[in-house]
Amino acid sequence: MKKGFYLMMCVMLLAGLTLAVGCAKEKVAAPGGSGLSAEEQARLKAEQERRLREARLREQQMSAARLREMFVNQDIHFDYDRYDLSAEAKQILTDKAAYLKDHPQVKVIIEGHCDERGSNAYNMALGEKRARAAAAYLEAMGIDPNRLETVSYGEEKPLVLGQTEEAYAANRRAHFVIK
Amino acid sequence: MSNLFGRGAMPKKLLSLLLSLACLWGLLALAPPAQARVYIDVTRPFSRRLPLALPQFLPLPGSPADPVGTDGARILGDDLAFTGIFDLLDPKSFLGPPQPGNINYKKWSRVGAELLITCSYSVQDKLLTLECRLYDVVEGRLLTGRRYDGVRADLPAMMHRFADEVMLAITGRRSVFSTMIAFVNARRSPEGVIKEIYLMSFDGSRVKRLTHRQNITLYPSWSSDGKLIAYSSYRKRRPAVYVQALAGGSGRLVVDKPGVNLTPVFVPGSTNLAVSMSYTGKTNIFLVDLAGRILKRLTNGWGIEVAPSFSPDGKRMAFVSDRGGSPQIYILDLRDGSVRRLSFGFKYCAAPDWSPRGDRIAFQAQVKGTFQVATIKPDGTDLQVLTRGYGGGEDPSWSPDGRLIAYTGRRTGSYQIYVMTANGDSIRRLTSLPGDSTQPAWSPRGITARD
Repeated sequence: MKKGFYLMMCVMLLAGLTLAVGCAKEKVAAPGGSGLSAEEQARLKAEQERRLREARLREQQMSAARLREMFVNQDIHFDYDRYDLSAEAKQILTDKAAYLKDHPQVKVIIEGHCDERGSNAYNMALGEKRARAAAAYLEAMGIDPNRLETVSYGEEKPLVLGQTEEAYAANRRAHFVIK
Repeated sequence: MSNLFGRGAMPKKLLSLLLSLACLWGLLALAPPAQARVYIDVTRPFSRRLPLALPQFLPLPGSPADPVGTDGARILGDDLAFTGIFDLLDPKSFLGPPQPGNINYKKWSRVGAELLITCSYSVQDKLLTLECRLYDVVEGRLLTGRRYDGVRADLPAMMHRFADEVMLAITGRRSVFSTMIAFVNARRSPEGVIKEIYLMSFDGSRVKRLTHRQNITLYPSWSSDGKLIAYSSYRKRRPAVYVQALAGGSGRLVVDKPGVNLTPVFVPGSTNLAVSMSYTGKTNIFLVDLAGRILKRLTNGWGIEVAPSFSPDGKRMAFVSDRGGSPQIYILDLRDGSVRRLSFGFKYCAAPDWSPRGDRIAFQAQVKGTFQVATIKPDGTDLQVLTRGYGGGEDPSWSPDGRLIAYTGRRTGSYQIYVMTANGDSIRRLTSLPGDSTQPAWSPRGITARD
């Protein structure tokens, strides 16, 4: 019995407070409401809007940085001695195309790389074919070719040193750099 | 023990005996006259070294003893050992000093020598005179002799010259003693790996840096007169072709088309270059001049074509193409434009180099996952795989006399440049710079290091 009574009292108290707050808000919002001049009201409103705008901007910057990071850090990989695009490579390129469409001012350098096996000169040319294959795919998805520059480093700039299959696979890549 | 006169065996054995006798008689009948003794049979894989006695140098009558004697013998001995065709006998086994002009051939024959070199010197102040003679001990006659006059500092040059005379007498051609080898050396820098082109004497001495591009520089190649070196070096994110004079300067940009510009090679007797370029969308080999003008398209495969190498007469060109599905060696006949595949039986072949003698083409072939150096006749016959095992062999480059091959190997963990005979013998290491040394390019004859 006593419990129920106290509960009822809390609820009524809360309801009352809410009403009071709500009324108070209404009081402030209403033009010509008691206690605040028009200038002060305008200032408060402007401050509110600024706070909201800043909050939205901060959220956007974080994901833009993140998206850019992903764009640059995600390489596509190739099989030994080949420059055709795997299904996974195509998926990654599709994401990159989306990013490029969202950021029309961005220009890209596509680097083609090879693992250290094979002849140096042939790998130079193969690296270029890899970069070109990636560029062609992006162009087919509607990206302006003038935004894409292809370069080859052959076997000269491995990502991972060593003679293991893992190292080789990591090095057979096309890498994207924002100009 | 089988019974020579067993049933049915006798006629067969007798027949083969008769055949052998007939062959022997035939050979004797066809044998060349005695004075044209063949020292080195260049048509067969070489297996025997020529025993050579090189005793201490002696002062000429009236001249005091001098260290040039020891120094000279060492330089000459090193040069001749470098060729891989001599077995230098131990001087301790000799039965006494030679008497130039009055050789006791029997004395030298007894210690196993077939060839004998005697040198006498005289030193007066700075002036040095050397008299050197090469004798055929078996036939008991003088083969060649030279007198050199100069200053002390000329001693190495004199010895290199005489070593070449010895090789001329023995093989019919002068050797490598006035040649250099260009190569690529990689070193670490804060910006990443930098590759530059270096020069060294034929024996690995006198290493000198040629390029200072502070970038990745590759594929050195000599003009026929030894005055120019072409190479590719990165410029604005792509390999461009440069030509640099040995005499000095920092290199002139020749080809900088979009894409990659690779493996420039001088046409024999010309300053035109064959260059591999990808600006058309596929990578083919073009003929360009020193102004960078494209004179002619040489190859037209659908994929990747790189690494041209001309025959000494400039009429044919070996190159790498993947038109058959994998990188292989092909030969282009420049007269009629026909292309013929040269390499078969390997999954991946690259880096052809046509011998300056015209008789063989060296290249790298993938054997059990590792590249090895192989040579083959231009008609596709007589394939020989010269290197084997761990370390492999890549980027072969012939010496101007076609008797030695420089190449890249990785026996020690890092890439270094080695030299071997055309038959794969006498492998020696030439480089010991820090970092990787690769892509040797042997100069024409008559190029020596300037101090």
